[in-house]
Amino acid sequence: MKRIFLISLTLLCTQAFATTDLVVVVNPGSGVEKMNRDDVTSIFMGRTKKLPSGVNALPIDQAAATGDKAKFYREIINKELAEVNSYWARLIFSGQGSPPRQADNSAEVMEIVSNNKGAIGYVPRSAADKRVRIILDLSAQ
Amino acid sequence: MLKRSPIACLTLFACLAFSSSLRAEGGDASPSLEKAWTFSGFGTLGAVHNQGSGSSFIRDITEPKGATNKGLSWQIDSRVGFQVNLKVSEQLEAVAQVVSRYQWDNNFQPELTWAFLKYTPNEMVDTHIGRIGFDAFIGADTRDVGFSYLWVRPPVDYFGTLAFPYMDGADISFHYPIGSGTARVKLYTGISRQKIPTLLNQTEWTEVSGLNAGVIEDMSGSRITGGFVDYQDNHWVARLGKADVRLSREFPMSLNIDVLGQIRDAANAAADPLVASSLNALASDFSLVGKNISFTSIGLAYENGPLQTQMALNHWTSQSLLFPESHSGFISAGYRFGKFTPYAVVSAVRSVKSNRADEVAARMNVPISDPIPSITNFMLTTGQNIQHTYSLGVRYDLMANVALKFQMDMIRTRNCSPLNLPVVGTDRSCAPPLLWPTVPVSWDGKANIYSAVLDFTF
Repeated sequence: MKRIFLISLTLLCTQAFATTDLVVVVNPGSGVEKMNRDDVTSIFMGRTKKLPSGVNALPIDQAAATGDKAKFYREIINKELAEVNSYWARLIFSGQGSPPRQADNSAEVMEIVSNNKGAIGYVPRSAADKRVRIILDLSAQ
Repeated sequence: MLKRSPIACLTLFACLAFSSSLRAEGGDASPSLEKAWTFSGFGTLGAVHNQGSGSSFIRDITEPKGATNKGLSWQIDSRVGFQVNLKVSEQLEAVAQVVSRYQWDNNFQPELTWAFLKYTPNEMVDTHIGRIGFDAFIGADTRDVGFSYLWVRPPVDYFGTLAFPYMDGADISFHYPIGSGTARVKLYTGISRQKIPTLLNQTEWTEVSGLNAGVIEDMSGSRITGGFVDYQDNHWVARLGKADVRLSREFPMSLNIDVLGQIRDAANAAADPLVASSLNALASDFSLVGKNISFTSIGLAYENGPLQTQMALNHWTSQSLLFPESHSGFISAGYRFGKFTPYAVVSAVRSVKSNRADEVAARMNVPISDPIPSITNFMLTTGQNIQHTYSLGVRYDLMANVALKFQMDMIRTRNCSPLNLPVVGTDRSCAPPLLWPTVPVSWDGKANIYSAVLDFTF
């Protein structure tokens, strides 16, 4: 019980003081230079299956524990993770679809995006190196 | 035992949901595209108290007994479901789902709700073949997944009479990108396997009336056909749908009340041929075999960050007098503050009343209290719903996969009160309202429902 409380407290604190430093990244060979929030949302919510260049999209989420996932959805659609999970519950349990593949951390996101032409993910700006292309900066208003 | 054990099971699964959420520190429980097998599930542990004078409240017409003013009812909203997905290839997926919920036969016998193959040849088309959900309204095929919506349960005035959770058949969907969203056309057809308890199965009520209990309306074998067009983007969902159910079986008559038989006997006994033909027409208008029930519905939902709104309207028609034409609708809005989302819902259903009993009485030249007009009136009211509900509630997102909800519903029913039952009295007899398995013989039509549920996915 104490553990739950500590975890909740930590989560609350990280939420309260977090500033978004996330960027959305794609493979340099994807043919995509830029995307807006709406397009990125459509891909992560499973409504659009292709990148604007026509390549099949492979969205990559991060594990909830990294905190980046909650930040990403709050920033991009102003939804909490419970709401995003509710949305996916509707699709999973009616056999309509499944949520994006999930990486353990930003290093794994970088690894997948740099090796897959259609992959799209989000990482802290500091983690985004030359292997990927930044197509949307979520810290910019 | 049957009633206790599902609750114990649900408590266990609620604990499982909590622990899986804690485990999510190192990895999330959500299924990934890359795994061949995915096991997932959902559940609700819910308690309902009905502050009403002897009425019993149900969530939908498949439930045989409802929540009363005596303590808490755990069976109304509690349920648990398991799903397994097997991804055979990028194009082919197999899905099976089993749900245990309170059912027509008064137990929680698990039921196979989905068992289908999903084939997606390209991003424009997908098809499901096997046991598939009846996607009649927005959210109709995830009614059991409480975690997926804001409310304690889908509005009863709107969803309560939708008796078909699934069918054995196939569907096909075509997706077209339009602007920043996607339009979809979906067509489906299948055979229902559903049974529902009829009012004659309501023991409390039939004890009062002296009618025989234990009658189940068997909808299995009915053909469901329908389709819809919808549009979805990051904020809007709009849908226009139509569905037809072609009934394959007759309304079940209990051992000591054969309504159609009584009307036909009266027709045979009538000296006036006009009376005889009018009574034969009446019997055939009541019959169900080969008759269609149709739903035409529109649904609209808008979400923007913490705001969630939804509305829907349905027009229901049928070729049988037993299922009167009706209109239903609801409007719902909720706004999230941190982890709390308070919400409000207004819903209503209105059946069209028939004056056929008066016509029969006039044709026969007998008072309305005569057995035949009286029983006609009784049958005309069996499918009637005239009520509205105001609901207020709050959803608290306890964890990313666990939500706690409280809801209060103020229900006002204006069906004719079954003051005089056909075997008890003979004046303006009518049946208990369709959505109320038990009501006192002289009911004021008022009930306040208090509910608390814990919804989870795992």
